[in-house]
Amino acid sequence: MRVLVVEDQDDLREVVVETLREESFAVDESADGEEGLYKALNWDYDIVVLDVMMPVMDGWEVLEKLRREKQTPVLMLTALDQVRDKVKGLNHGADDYLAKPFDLTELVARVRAVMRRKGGDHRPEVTVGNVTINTTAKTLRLGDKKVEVTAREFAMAELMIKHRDEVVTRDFLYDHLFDENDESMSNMLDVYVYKLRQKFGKDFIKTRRGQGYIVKSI
Amino acid sequence: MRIFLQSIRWRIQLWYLLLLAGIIAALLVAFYRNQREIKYQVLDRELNNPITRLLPRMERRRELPPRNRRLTRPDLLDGMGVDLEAQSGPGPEGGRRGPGPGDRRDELEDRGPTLGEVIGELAEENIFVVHWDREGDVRFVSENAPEGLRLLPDGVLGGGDRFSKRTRQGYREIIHASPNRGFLLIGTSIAPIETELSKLEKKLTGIGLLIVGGGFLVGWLLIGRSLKPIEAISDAAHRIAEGDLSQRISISENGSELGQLSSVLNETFDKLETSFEHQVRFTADASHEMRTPIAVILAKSQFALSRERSAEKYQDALQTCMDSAQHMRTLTDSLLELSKVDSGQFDLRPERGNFEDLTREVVRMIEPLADERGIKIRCDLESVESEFDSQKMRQALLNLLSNAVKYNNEGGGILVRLKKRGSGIYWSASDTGPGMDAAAQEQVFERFYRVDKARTRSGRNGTGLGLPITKAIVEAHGGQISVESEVGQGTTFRVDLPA
Repeated sequence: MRVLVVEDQDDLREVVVETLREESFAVDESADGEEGLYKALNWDYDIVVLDVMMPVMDGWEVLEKLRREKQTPVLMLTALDQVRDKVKGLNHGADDYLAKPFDLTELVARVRAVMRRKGGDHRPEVTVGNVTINTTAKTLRLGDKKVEVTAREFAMAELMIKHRDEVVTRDFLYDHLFDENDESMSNMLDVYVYKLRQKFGKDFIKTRRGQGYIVKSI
Repeated sequence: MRIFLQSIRWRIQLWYLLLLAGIIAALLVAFYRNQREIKYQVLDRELNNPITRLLPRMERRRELPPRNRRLTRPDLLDGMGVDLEAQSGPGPEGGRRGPGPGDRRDELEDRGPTLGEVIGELAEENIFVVHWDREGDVRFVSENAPEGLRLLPDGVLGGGDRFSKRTRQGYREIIHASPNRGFLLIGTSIAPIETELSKLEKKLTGIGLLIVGGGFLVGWLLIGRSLKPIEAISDAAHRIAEGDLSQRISISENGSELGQLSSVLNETFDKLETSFEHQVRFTADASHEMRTPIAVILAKSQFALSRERSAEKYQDALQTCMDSAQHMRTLTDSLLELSKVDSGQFDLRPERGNFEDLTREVVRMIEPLADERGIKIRCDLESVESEFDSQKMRQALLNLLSNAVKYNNEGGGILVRLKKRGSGIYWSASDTGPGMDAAAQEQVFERFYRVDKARTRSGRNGTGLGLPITKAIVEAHGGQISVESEVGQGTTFRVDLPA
């Protein structure tokens, strides 16, 4: 899952980015609205965490311009917590709203909730075949047995399960699993696919030659 | 009742009515009295008239009206004597005086009706006559005279007045006294006049009530009309008190006192609204400024504590928390200072000192910061003695110079000037930075305003309160601060102080 964090306050942006990375998201960051909008328009993020009060271009403007072209989920982040501002944010097409100062755990929970809703899953636990994923607890189970996975492995499993019964291209996987700073080595994907097949059986992820990968729900 | 009396409308109305009723009553009473006077004068004249008709007859014919049965004997004899004399007259004188009685009768007939006839005529006009002799004995009384007129009224006998008038028990009477003929009283009932007067009285009362009633209505409308703006004012003030600060009094008449009051109040409301909006914005801005460092501290510490971390990570988290806390301290100090300015507790402790020394001190303090960015500071200073609060003024100059460094281009320059200007001081700091546009220059002294938001907010130093505090300090010294700038040409902050 790839996230864009647009926040002008350096310390805050850093800690949010780090936290989301630890939650196995691929995270890009922007220090102002203009750059944030540029990135949001040019990449398909799974969610944009957007600060309202920012230099150059504020959050409302970014949201408005983004919404003209894309339906990327947006979580607004601001110090204004008056009801009026919340309503304004939601009316302008924001998917959720979080007032500063906030709990990091709440931020992560809301980011996940927004992404789940966009994916059509409303509960954190989804079962595909005999593999069960819990995005809140960040666990993967094979039958009843919990399987230890790395953050990247989990992220890939999460992405594949979210797009189950669809053919997922390698490019799509690259876009959503790696952030702008990752060196994109083409064999990295193969490594994760190999490891996931090792842990959940070779039928968990099937290869569609020349197209990509697919996870089937039955 | 109390509310009723407290209402200005009712109070004005009551006073006005009282006054109107008083004036109308006085006028009507005066008019009534005048009418009464006139009527009585006319009556008196009517009563006087018969005297001229009665007196000559009484002179010639002392006979008493035969109907009068109440005459005393001497009077009767006296009267008879005259009568006899008059009747026996023709006898002795015979033919010589033959035509005498006839002449006399002719004469009498020429002179009109007899006394009795006159009295009869008068009785038809409701006038009665009473005659007393000089001793006060009744000589005759008209039939229609009221009871109780036997005695001559007191005071008439002794008094020398030829005429006296009186009104008594519903009758108007005129008493004519003559030394020869005794007293003649002519009177009439005043009932018709009084009836007329009471009719007039009713009419006047009616007119008075009508005028007062009309006055009440007209007054009520007029007062209501002139008080209408007050209602509008009170309505507007009420709505404003309920929190709708955008309400204004609609002014219909500009010229009137209330119109003027309304426009003054509207101006006041404008100022109130502006200052309230400022206050609301200031509070919102201040809380926003506080929230950011709090958010950083909260997030950073949660992040650090969420799992086992390396020593460097903990150190980094603590450093960030400390920086944020320090920023908050600066912010709260600034806010406290500004709240002192706002509440008028901004106390200065002015002492005599040299402004040049102070400027040099501040320049020395700022030099390390300037060196870091390769900025050269040039000074063009005169020695100026003045009275100022050195601690506060140092803070103000430090603010201006640190801005000149912060918003300067790397390797730029700063020129600090201090000159005597007339009786005052001219101080300025010019930088070679990017400058500001007109809009920014206008807002630069506003709280939490930042010219270049991106740059200042990424740095931790800017609170957005430095220039407002500087301005407050300069103004507390009776001075003025202004900014001159052009985009690309640098910025000059100028301070003018009285010596």
